[in-house]
Amino acid sequence: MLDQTCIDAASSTKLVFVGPVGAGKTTAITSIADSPPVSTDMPLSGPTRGDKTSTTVALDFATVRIEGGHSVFLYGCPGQDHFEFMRPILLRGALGAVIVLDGSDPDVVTHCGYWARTVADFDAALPMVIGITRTEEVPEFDLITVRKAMRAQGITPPVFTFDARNPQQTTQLVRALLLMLE
Amino acid sequence: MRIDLRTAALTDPEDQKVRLAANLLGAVRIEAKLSPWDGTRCDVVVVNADDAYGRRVMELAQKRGIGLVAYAAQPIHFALSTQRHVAEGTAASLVSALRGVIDAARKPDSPARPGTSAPAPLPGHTSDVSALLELTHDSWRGRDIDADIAGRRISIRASRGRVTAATLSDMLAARDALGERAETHAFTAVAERHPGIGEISWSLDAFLVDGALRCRHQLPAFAGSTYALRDFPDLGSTRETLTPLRIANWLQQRPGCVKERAAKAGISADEVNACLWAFRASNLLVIDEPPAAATPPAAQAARVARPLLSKLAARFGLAW
Ligand SMILES: Nc1nc2c(ncn2[C@@H]2O[C@H](COP(=O)(O)OP(=O)(O)OP(=O)(O)O)[C@@H](O)[C@H]2O)c(=O)[nH]1
Ligand SMILES: [Mg+2]
Repeated sequence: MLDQTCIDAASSTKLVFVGPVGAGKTTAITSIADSPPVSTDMPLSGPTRGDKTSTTVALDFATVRIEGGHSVFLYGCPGQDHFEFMRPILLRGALGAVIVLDGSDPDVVTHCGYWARTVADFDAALPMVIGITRTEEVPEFDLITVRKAMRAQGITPPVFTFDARNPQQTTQLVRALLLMLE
Repeated sequence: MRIDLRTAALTDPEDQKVRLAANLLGAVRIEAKLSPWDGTRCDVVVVNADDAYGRRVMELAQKRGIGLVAYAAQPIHFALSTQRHVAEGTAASLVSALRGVIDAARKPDSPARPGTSAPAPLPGHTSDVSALLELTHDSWRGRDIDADIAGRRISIRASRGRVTAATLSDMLAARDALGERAETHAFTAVAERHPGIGEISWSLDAFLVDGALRCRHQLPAFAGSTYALRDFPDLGSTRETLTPLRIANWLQQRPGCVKERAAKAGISADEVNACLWAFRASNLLVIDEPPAAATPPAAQAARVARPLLSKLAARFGLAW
């Protein structure tokens, strides 16, 4: 008898985007998916920032069709802490995780450590890449400190700066992840 | 006075003599930092000219005006007094050759033989190399500097992995001129945390990679045979997307065999060479040293069925 999970593993796979509120997960998924994600976004209460007017409350979901009628599913975890329970649910069975962080956040190093640890604690062998948005807005942005903090934790994923609105730059993150599996 | 002394293709006895000579130079207040030739700028290189690799390095040194001491069984006549031949001899005779080269480099040069009038580069001071190669030199690599490249001012902040400029046009012009000759006074080291020029802020790795690929036809061969990366370069925003990513990935996974793997994947040798120069300039590339901890080759494939992974890779522009 064929195991159902085998069939699924052979025909579909998923990538999970995690990171703090407002980092750019929904935007990144939108950049590379075939069609806009199905998102459980709610209008942001309180002050908004730039063109961000909503926040994801359960998950983002989108697909990228690949040759042979297969698909890769893209999931975005909500950034808010009270949706923490969603993370292992979404990470299970993933082929890799993209950690999206906001480079204009003064706490970006702390967030990076926290999210990398979250992914590594779920599965230490799960390939991950870190993508940092909005670095063009902060001339004092410091990539080396982020790398050092990662090394101190014994986690050394590629750390990229990128603009989540840019499909080519978002694709670079996915490629880096796929190359780890080559 | 400090000098950066390199060696290439020396026999063991020659190598020992150079080490001894480097110590002896201390007596005349010359502090020589000794390391193997890696293609980057230095003050003096000692080569074994009877060896093919040594001869190649000698030619490069002559071309770039680097001080040169060449071991060879047969005498070699050099046009410049910054270049000397030594036969097998004592460490003391090597010290005297080295001092001759160093002194000649400090003085405005006179041709060693009458009738020749080759321009006289001063090792360590003039720059007959491109801005990119200059940035790989120990004096600049990994440091925060303000730079003037093709008349455009940029701030390289290696301590933060960033480069800044006042305008986008300055940034683009500087990047595209990385292959042009650097002026001697083009770079100024600044203290860490010194604010950079302007508001336009880019990834330093991406800036160097795109600039290097643009001038890839002009770059000399990068020396060494085994390379590894300290960290994965920040390639999120490179204009040239695939090639540097693949090269970085190979360097990260299995140091050493990048050239062969690239050739198999149809990536040209000059693209690999350009990426090596760029990764070196951004202080990420380690040459001829066993890597501290190479990322274990991905025993990951089991996460996704192989055929599916290939299709997925193809969908994102990766063919393997
Ligand atoms: N200036 C700038 N804005 C960016 C960049 N990347 C993303 N953005 C913007 O940042 C905001 C990110 O918002 P979302 O994509 O909703 O963030 P999220 O991670 O899904 O947030 P939650 O769902 O609330 O957890 C959007 O308004 C993007 O347009 C960048 O590199 N530069
Ligand atoms: Mg969202």
